[in-house]
Amino acid sequence: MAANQNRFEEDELKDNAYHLVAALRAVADAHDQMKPYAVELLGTRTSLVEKRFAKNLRELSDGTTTKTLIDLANWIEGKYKTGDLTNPPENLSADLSPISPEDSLMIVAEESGDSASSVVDQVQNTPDRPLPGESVGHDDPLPDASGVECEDSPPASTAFVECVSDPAVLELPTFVEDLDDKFESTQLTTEPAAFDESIIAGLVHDALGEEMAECEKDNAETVLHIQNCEAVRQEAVRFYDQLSNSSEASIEILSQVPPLPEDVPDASRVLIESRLQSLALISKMIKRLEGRIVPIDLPLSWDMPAVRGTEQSLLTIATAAESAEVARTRIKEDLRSASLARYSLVTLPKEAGKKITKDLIDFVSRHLLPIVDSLDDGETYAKPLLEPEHGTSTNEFANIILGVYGSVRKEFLLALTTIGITVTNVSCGTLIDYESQEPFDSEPESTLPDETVLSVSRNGYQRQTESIPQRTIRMAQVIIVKNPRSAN
Amino acid sequence: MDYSKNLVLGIDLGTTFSSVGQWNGRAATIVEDLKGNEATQSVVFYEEPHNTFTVGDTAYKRTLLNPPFGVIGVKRMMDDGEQTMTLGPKKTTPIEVSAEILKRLKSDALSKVPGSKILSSVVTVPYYFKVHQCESTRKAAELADINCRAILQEPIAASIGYAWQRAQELGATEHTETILVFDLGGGTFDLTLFRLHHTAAKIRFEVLATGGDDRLGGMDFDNRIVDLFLKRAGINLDHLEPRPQRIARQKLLDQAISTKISLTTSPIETVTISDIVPGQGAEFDVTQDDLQEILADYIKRIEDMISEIWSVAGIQPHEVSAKVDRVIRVGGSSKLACIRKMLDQAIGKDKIYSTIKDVTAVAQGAAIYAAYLDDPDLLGKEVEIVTRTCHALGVETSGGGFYALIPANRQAPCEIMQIFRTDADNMTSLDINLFQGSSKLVSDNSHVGTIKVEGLKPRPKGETKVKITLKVSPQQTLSVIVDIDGQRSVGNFKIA
Repeated sequence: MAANQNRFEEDELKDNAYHLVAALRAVADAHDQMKPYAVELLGTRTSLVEKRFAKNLRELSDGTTTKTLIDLANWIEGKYKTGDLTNPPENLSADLSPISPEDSLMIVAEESGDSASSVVDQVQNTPDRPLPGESVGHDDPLPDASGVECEDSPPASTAFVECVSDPAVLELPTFVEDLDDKFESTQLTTEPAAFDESIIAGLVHDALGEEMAECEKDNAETVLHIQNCEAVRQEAVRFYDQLSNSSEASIEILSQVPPLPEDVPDASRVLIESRLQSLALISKMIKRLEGRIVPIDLPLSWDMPAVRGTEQSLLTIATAAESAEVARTRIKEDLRSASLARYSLVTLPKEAGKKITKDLIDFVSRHLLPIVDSLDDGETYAKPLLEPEHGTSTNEFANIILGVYGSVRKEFLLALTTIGITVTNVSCGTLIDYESQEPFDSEPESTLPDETVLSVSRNGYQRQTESIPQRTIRMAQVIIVKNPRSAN
Repeated sequence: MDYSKNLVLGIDLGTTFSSVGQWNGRAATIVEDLKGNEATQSVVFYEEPHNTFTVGDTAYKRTLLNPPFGVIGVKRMMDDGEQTMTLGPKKTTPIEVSAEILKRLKSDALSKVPGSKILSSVVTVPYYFKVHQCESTRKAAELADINCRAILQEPIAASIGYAWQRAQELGATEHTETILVFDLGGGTFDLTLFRLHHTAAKIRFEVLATGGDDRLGGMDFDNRIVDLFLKRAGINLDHLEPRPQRIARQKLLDQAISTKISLTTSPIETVTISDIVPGQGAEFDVTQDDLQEILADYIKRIEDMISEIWSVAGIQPHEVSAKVDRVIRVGGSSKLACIRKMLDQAIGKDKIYSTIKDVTAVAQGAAIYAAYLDDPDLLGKEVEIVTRTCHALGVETSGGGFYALIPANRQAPCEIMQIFRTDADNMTSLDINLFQGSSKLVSDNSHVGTIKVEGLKPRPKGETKVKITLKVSPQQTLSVIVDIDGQRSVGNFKIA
């Protein structure tokens, strides 16, 4: 009985060993088939794989795993033939431990559910293990290195099922479903693995190649805008300095207007007093000029930080991306954002320069030209006081007043010339130039053609500098000829 | 794509001024004219000796002198774009005149880079423009040969500029905000309330309500300020001859505009004018409160129109501050302190978005939209515009009456069905005339199109039932289905 018992145990041991060898070889074969996937996973899609599988994949890809499994199978086969299964080599058992069949399937499943399914299908479609007493065919015998064939050996594929007699294997469909779930969740939740440095470097290098070229272009443009802006700023500073001097000088001139002589006839007195009132008002306008000057605010820094920031952000993006494709997409988006951010930096000095010019012209138009216009008007209204009918005393005083108007006007025109602004030259008797003149009113004059300029109602101003072509700051308002159409 | 040679333009074809935005690959910039101006006067003058048209400020000046040869504000004439008008001896149409303005803008843009061409453009129109006005604008664009890809409503264009900026800030963050576009220009006032929905994949503009007044603008304010100056100076111009009166008014108007600008930031401004009329000058202070007072009735009108907007959008007065997130101001007069104060009170403080350049916002937004149509990946997001019917839509009934089926301010898409009866005996054919507008008479409304139904069974008056269904799509296409005795006739018409 004991002998039978021993015999039974020995047979069972052999049987199990036989199954184990078959299973190991089947697994080795499966691993061999997985090798290309492992190579691809390691090469391009590393971050799909959790870190704990990285070592297994490396061994899978370089064939170490397959070799280890085959070595173990050979070792077991040799041992079961001699009955010595007691001392498996330590190095083999140690090496085998990291990669279980389940893990192998998981890796396959992570790469492709179909691959995992096909493995399962292979298992499930194998013939059932023969029942006791049923004849066993030898169509698929276990290859025997020593040439011995075991009559009782079941087919290798059946052995695979039996050998890996883990409950998990018996529930393979569920197991695969779980794997699929794990695969899905892995995609979503897996911490990005250490991205292959060569891939990151390649992606970032390609992206930065174009980026740096664009950056250089932007930098060159920015430098140009900064130079222009600085030139405009200096011009504005010179103008405001000159304006300050002109204002001071004007106030000084205006303060020297003598009191109205007592011997001015009453008929002229009202007219002279109106000129004095005009000068007093102009003096007040001048005194408020400085307070109206718009401060020139320039950005403190003209740096282009986006260039450095982009490189760092690209590295961060590439390292954190789930795949090279995702990395490329995100890098593209990041470069677009960086380009827009950089563009705002490029336009900063450009806009600053434009604003200085706009503020300057606005200041001139709104606050300075009304003063000059008032001086022009004052001069026009003072001239009749030079008529002899007003008497010598009035004439002399009118000359003083006209001198004041003229001197103050000269001061402000001097300030305007520092920024290239001059009075528009209008030739009476010629046709109106609509680029710099506008008709304010018309009169019939049969000896002249329509649209001939008769007189200037209000002076116009234009600006021209070395860098700016001539531009009209304000149109000259002119009175022109307009004859009745029937006359033409 | 080299956008410096392949121009993608957004054109703000305004009543008084027009401007051009250009997409440069990264942003929309404004195309300055040859004189360095950001806007061109929308005035056309016929040069008889050369049989040519002049456009811009020169045309404006010539028109002042020779009014019969020029036209100012042709946009107001687009109600009948095909009507014959005369500029001196020249017979033309508002469409052709508008085309001349567009040609000038095109020429300014092309002159910047020799050898450049217009790849595509978008032209803007007021929100209240009816279908035929939009169509007339489209025809003008065709005449000007500017590859017009779309006609876009001005407030939408203005808010696209804002949405573009916000899209950069928000990225993939999902965000919804309600925006009021407050456009107070020189001669018109428009209000548009939007819901702007940002997601990672889409920017959705949903027009919630619109309103405004096309006879209210900054020029009205300027005239009031001139009157205030005259009062403060104690001067009456009525007794003056026309020319001295004009000179005085011009002087006061220049000063009024300057003072208005100063008072947008300063609470008080001292005004000094010498020789308003010879020998009579004045100095006085004007405050923001003064402006508030003299413009009170205008401000009240604006407030009422804003309240109407809330009502249409279903926003209760106490909910406004919580429900309206931003105000985008467009137009110089919208910067007035009294307007700002009114907006703060009506909507809540710190709601005004100041980053957008108000004067050029429409042209720049249109340029961004043109670039988007050219390259849908441009924004990294899809742009969806959901509008409302700007005018009531309906059919002509007996005696030239207008029966509105879809009211104004109804969100698209929408659909409504109504059964009518014939109003004459033995009718064998029927013209279904479709109109849009607010008048009870079709003669005052705008014709959208006609569907002709023939082969009717002759019946006594009132016995034939005519089932009419109107559908408005988000793209502002009106689909009309007419069912008579199971016979179906269908027509599609653009309404914006």
